[in-house]
This record gives sequence, structure tokens and C-alpha cells, in this order.
Amino acid sequence: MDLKMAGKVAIVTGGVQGIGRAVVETLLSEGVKVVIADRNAEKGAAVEKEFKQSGQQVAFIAAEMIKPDDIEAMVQFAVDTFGSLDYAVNAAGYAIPNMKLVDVKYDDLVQMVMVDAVGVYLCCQYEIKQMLKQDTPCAIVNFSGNSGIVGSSAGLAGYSMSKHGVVGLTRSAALEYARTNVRVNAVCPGVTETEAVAGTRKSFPEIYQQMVDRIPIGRTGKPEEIAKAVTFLLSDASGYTTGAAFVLDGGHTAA
Amino acid sequence: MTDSLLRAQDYSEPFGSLSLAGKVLLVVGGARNTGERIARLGAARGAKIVIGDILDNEGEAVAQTIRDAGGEAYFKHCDVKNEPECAALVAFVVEKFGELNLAANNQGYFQFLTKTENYPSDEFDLHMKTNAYGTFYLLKYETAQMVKQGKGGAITNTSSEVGLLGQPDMTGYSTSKHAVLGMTKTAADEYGPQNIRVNAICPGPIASLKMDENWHKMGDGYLKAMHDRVPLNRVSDPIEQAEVVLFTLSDAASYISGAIWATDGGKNTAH
Repeated sequence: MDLKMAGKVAIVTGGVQGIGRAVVETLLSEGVKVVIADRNAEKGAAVEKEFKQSGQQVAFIAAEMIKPDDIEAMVQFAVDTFGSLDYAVNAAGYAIPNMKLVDVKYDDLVQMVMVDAVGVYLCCQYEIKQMLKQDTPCAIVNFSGNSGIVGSSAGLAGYSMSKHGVVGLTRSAALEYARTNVRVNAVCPGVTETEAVAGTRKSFPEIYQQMVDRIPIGRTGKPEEIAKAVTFLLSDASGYTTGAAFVLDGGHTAA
Repeated sequence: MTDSLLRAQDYSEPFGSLSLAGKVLLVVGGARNTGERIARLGAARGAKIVIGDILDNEGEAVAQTIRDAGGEAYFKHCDVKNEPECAALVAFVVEKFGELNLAANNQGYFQFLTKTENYPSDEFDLHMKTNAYGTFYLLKYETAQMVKQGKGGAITNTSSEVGLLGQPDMTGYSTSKHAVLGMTKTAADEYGPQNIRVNAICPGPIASLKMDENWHKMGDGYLKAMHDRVPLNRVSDPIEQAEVVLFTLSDAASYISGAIWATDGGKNTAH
């Protein structure tokens, strides 16, 4: 998109697959150096190798987004490897689908809230701490979801709760740091054609079709479509946008 | 201190996949301020432009500037308060370029007046006619044309930070800008199946020649008051609004519809 981001440094959490990986690819195509952070060390190493073979400036670090020490090390790793931290995309997420509220186990609930809400908070904490040491324009995009804007009838109450939380965190962080060099926004993707959704399409074609029928545009989103909006939000082209939660769902929640 | 809030902008850059090459873009309210930036930056990204506005001299001058830079552009007088003029504007686009692919409905009327109890009803009418009815008329003929063409399209309406929140002394403006969001969401739902995307931006305060004038007249206190209202602590440059409008109209935003983009420096997140 030529958004004048060449040479900048980004962290993408949850960057080995799905939308996170599409964000990595889009940032690389804009000339950004990318640290991919993910809990899956094996897959991370493979993805890092794959990108490096095509001459891309990437580095992988294994990190669990619920562990402050891991997150602190991730930020330090970006600075040590590429010299600064200009952008952060907090895309790591976790969901237990189709589980009714009354059936969810405590440990599963805590795990979900930790990854989807508390983890994003912790990432913002360490990322902003580093960004404030720099005097260049920096930006963060947090992943909420369209279930962060409306409720979810698909047995995803804990997920929806966490994703609503990300919107509150994003708005508050944006306000707290509005008069610094750091902007903070959120994206709220709808159903996106990741490996997980492709699995639903295969295993539960009727549920998948019902889901698609509710989307005005009549199809699910593509990971690269979400990635382009994320990249735009990071760039100076959206320099007056902070504290915004941006719905990317083919019109699903407009109706 | 510089003597203008407006930035110089380079209109000659390449834009990769934000490119609008070959697209026909209608910019309503394109004679000055944000609309002028949308038209010129849109042209720089390859779009063929039609500017609709009530400001004939300024609108024609923007079209001429685009043509001088090697682009294709026409100006057409349009008072959006008048439904037949909106229909004629869309017909003009089709007559000149054969089709309509993209539209930025960016016209607006704005006055700070008085509280509701004393708010002049004719002013309420004028805000509603320009901002709400005008956008409705435009949407009506734009979507009709895009449906007829059968190849999708994208429309971005300009609402306001005051389309999301109330603000004293401007009930006409606030009401009309709230209305823009209702028709944006409705049209997004209605025309999703035809791949016509409809979105809105909600700008906060935007630098303009009028704002420069107020600043020079009233001094730095005026500017400080403007800035203090916004978490980012500054007014936006109109190019920052144009960038978001053109992003939402580009193929890079191919899955974005019914979305409300608060381009307000964080204002609506605060209370």
C-alpha cells in the first residue's frame, strides 16, 4: 500500500497463523521489520525460516501472552534485534467455541480471559513502556472482534466478555497516552477465513452457511483484508485516529 | 509559529494497492477543505473525478488543478438539498465516464447556534436538508446506479464526532449527523449482497481556512481551546480525513462495510 512504513519495527503476537500471519506478511510487504511472537515455538521457528529464506527481515520469539516475563522479554528482543519498537499488533487469541455459559469450566474460562483480555493489557503495558522511550510516532492495534461490540449467541460469553474488555482497554490506553507519541486502536473482525473457520466449514457446513447468510456482504473475511486495515491503522496515514474500535465484518454488526 | 494550520501535501506519489486506477469517484462537497483533499489525493491515486458542490468557482478550480496535473476531472454544480440535482449529478458522472464506482458524500452545513429551547427551526431544517436529506438523496441515486452496473462499489459518508455524541448549541448538526450513521448502516446491510460497501467517518475538529481566520482574529487562546477538547491535543489536518475516506473506498478495504470510523483524535472515547 506504500504507507511509508519502511524500516520501522513491529511486534505481531499470535503471528504464526491465521490473521496474525497475514498481518506479518502485509507489514513485511510495506518494508517493516517484524518480530513474530507466539506460544508455538516449533511452528514459529518454521515460519521464521520460511520468511528468512525469501529474504525478509523477521525474527521469532516464543512467548506466552499471559506471562509478564515472556512479554517483557519479547519487547526487549525486538529492541535488541532491530533497534526499536514502532508498532505492535496484539493478535494472540483463544476461544472455546459453542460452549454454553453454564457448561464452561472455571479453568477454561480463566485461560480465555487471561489470553484474550489480560494478555492484551500486559502486552500494551510493556510495549507502551518501550515506545515512550522513543520520540517517534508509535502505534498499537489490539484485536477485539465483532463480539467485542455486540453479544454472541454462539456460546461464546467468556470470549465476548474478553473482547468487550479489549475495547475498554484500547479506549482508556489511547486516552492515557493521547498526548504522547503512542496511538492505540482496536480492530473488530467478523468471521474470517482462517484454518479454524475452514474447519467449521468442513465439519459443520450447515452452521457455517447460517453464519455466512447473516453477513450482508455474503462471505467471510479474508485474513489479508483484516491485515490491510491493521496496517493502515498503524501507519501515519491514520495519524488522527486513536481510541477507535474498527469493525471489519462485511456489515454483520451494522444490521 | 507558521501562519497556517494546513499542511503542504505531495499529490504525486504512487500508492500501491491503495490505488484507485481506473475507478470513477464522485466527491460531493469537493470544492474545498476535506472534499478538495479527497478529490486531489483520489486523482493522484488514479481515480477519474467528478466534484459536486454549490461553490462553482472553487469547484471548477479544483477540477482544473487535477487536469493540469494530468488527471481527469469535471465539476458539476449540485445543491444536495434538492433531490433532482442529486439525481442529475449521478447522471452527469455516468454521462462523462460511463459509470460510477466510488462516492464520498462529504458535503456539510455547520453552525454553532443556541440551546434547543431557542434553536431556530429554519436552521434545524437547513442542517437536516444538507447533511441528512442530502446524503440520503445521494445514496439513493448512487446505489441505484451501482446496482444497475452490477459490479459493486463503495460509498463513504461523512458524519461527525457529533454524530456519535451530543454537543450543546448544535442540535441541528448533531441530529443530522446521527442520521447519516443510520442510513450508512442500513444501506450497508441492504447492498452487501451486491458488494456495494457503505461506511462513514466521524471527524473531530478539522483545520480549515475558516479556522485559520478565527485563529488570526482571536489569537492563540482560540487555538488552545480547540486543541484542549481533543485527547490528541490538536485539530486534524483535512488530509488525515481524506486518507481514511480513500482507504475505505479502496480495494484494501474490501471487507469493510457498515463501519463507523471515529477520526476524531480520541474525542468520543473520553467523557
